Amino acid sequence: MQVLTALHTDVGIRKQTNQDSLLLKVAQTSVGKVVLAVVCDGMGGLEKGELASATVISAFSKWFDKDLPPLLQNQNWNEIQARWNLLLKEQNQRIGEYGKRLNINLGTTFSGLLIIDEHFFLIGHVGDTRVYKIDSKLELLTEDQTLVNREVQRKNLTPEQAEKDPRRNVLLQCLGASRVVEPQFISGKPTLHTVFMLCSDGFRHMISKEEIYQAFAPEKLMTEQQMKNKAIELVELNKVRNETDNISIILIKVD
Amino acid sequence: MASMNRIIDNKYEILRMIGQGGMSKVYLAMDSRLNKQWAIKEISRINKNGFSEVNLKAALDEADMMKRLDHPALPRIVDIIQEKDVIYVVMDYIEGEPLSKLLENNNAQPQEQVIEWAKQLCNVLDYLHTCNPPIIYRDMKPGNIMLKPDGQLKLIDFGIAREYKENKVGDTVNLGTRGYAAPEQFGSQGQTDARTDIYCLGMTLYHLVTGRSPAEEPYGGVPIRELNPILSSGLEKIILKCTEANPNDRYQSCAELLYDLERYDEVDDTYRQNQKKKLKRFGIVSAAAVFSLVFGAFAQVMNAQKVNNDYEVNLDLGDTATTQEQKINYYEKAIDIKPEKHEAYYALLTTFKDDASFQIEEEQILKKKINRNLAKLVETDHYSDLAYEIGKTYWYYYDYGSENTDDNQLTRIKAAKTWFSDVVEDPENKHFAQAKIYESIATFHEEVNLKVEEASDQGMYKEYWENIEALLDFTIENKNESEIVKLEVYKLITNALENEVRKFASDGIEKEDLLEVFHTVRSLVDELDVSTDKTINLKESITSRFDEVVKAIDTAFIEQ
Repeated sequence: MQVLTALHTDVGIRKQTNQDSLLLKVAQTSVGKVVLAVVCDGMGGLEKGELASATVISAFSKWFDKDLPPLLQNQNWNEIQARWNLLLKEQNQRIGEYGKRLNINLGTTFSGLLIIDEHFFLIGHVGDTRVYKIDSKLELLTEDQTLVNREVQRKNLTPEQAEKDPRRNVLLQCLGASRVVEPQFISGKPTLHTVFMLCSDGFRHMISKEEIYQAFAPEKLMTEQQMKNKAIELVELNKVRNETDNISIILIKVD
Repeated sequence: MASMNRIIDNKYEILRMIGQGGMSKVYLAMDSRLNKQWAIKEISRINKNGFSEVNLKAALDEADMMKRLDHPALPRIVDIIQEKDVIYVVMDYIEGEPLSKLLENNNAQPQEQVIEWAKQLCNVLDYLHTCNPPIIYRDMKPGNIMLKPDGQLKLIDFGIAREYKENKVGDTVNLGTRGYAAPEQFGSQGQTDARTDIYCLGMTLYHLVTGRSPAEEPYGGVPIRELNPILSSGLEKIILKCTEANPNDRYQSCAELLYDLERYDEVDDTYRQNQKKKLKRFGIVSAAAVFSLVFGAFAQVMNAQKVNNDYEVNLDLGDTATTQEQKINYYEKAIDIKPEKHEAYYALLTTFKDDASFQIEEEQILKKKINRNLAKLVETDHYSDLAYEIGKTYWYYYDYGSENTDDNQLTRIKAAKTWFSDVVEDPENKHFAQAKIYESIATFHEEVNLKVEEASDQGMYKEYWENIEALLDFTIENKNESEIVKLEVYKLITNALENEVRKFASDGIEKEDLLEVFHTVRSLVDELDVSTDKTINLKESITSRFDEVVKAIDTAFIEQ
């Protein structure tokens, strides 16, 4: 399997700190190419949100280096989801206790994608960062764990009202501030000629699905440089359109 | 920053920190002069990150406003100390536990208990909302409600530089800290009002009664009986109405909410079904007969229902209000709504008597309400019962401010007379006999001085004595009579014996009669346990006359 990747993050036009944290690792292993991509959107006053998101990123980075190789040897893919579940709950606990000790509220979202060549992919998700799949169309894989999304599902709001609702940034769950975390997991076999996109919510408020598809359709992304350029282009478009949040995106193309 | 062992304003020694927020800290402090513990909130211009976020002037204004609030469920502010970059607000230290602590392990609280708490919280919110200008609490949640050891609740973290910041759209936040907040509290343009507090209260009740935080699945959005089917459907409806997304669909005031809380079991489905069944049975029989009347009567009934509700609501608010002033205020409102109903008058009288004294100002209020409606009242059923109660209130409790207590007793008796005269006009009244005696005693006191001047008082005293004996008899019979009433009767008799004994003798009353009554009264006074300052004093003053009474009786009969 061939893998192309790109990532870009921008503090945005308003905020003083970038609380998004990104992780992208690609390894050549005995079972083929292995890719881990994670986006975390931290929250909490000042540097604390950054701390929360970076803590989770560093935990997954360590996991990739230390705990993943033995799992790959056993080819026990289903075990991985249980490990992630544990890891996320542990992170929730740790960040939560840290916050309690300092009497601050901090936390982070989490959207992670693990691809093990053509054998297996796993998505783990908490909060409102997102994972999309782009092949012949743009498809949102993760479900926002937000108050407005819940209201949409309960038919109290239309998707259009949700876009404008002042509560649209209220999360139902996040790592560090939820008593219990119930991550969403999706797994399966990756299809080839597909682009996976992970992004923070800052990336998607100001641009349309159509614009995303036009930029990142698999046939348009032939090199990593192209991918990087397109990513920057859309981030800049967001800024032109007055997005105030931090903006982050990771692209992974598998062929 | 106030460090431990530091002394603020030469008076408050900081013992330890008991709470901390971004820009304020709360300490437990000891007042060295009063030897009393206070909570001191330190509001600093510079927060822990070195940013200036607090407008000290605004905090000071708010503290000043808070200082004027007076409600048992709100901590009192007793002192405000201003330094250069810091304000210290000294307030009640509240012992107890926040309700959030009780909920920590998903412990749902008993429904009856939650309803009792709900009424208390409704009451304090109503107090805040009816302040001028209204005060919106905005942060009702279990963590802000203290359960004191005596079972009463107190709201804490009230006002002043509370960590409540309008949320900027664009900042991601977690529901965990905002689960109780109403939709209009998100975003910058939200208008918050009394209905916002009602929403937060609804979410708080949801959490208390289900043990499930609104920040957890299913996020407070489901009827409580989906989580626990044995809960009351009435309470379920109340909570759903409190937590409607649109403020217009919620209860519009705490008074409305309180009304339903008082009757949550009547809102229950089972109750409603029973009522419906009754209505059906009644309906079949009477449908034909009423049909022609229905159209015209319908509007009338609907209107009456509304007025009725308002009357009941005010009565309820009065019953649950905690200060006398508020109680009186609600009962007055109730009287204004339905001046011909007696309940509010009785409630008003009970409130007046609460402190064992019916003051001049209170009499003014009663007079204003009664006189305006007297013509209507006299026509109502059982008016004489109300008149009897008013008469007794004057007779035993009226305090028109005279230093001389004997003088006071006569004034009270005379003021009461007209009410007893009203009772006497109704021979059916169960207090007819008593009223007649009260009236006669009052008449005696009204007339005796004049008759003495005319020297035509002979014969009056015999009747007076008989009435006094009768009054004593029915006071003894009525064991539930209050200390005050008993003591006032004993005092009346002691006074009569001391001052009028010669007249009694000359009207032919036997010494043995007088002595027998006197001994009865003396032992009754001795036996009576008194519990208040007023009754203790009264008992003492009566006891102090006993020797004089004995002398007076002896002298009166020696002279003969």
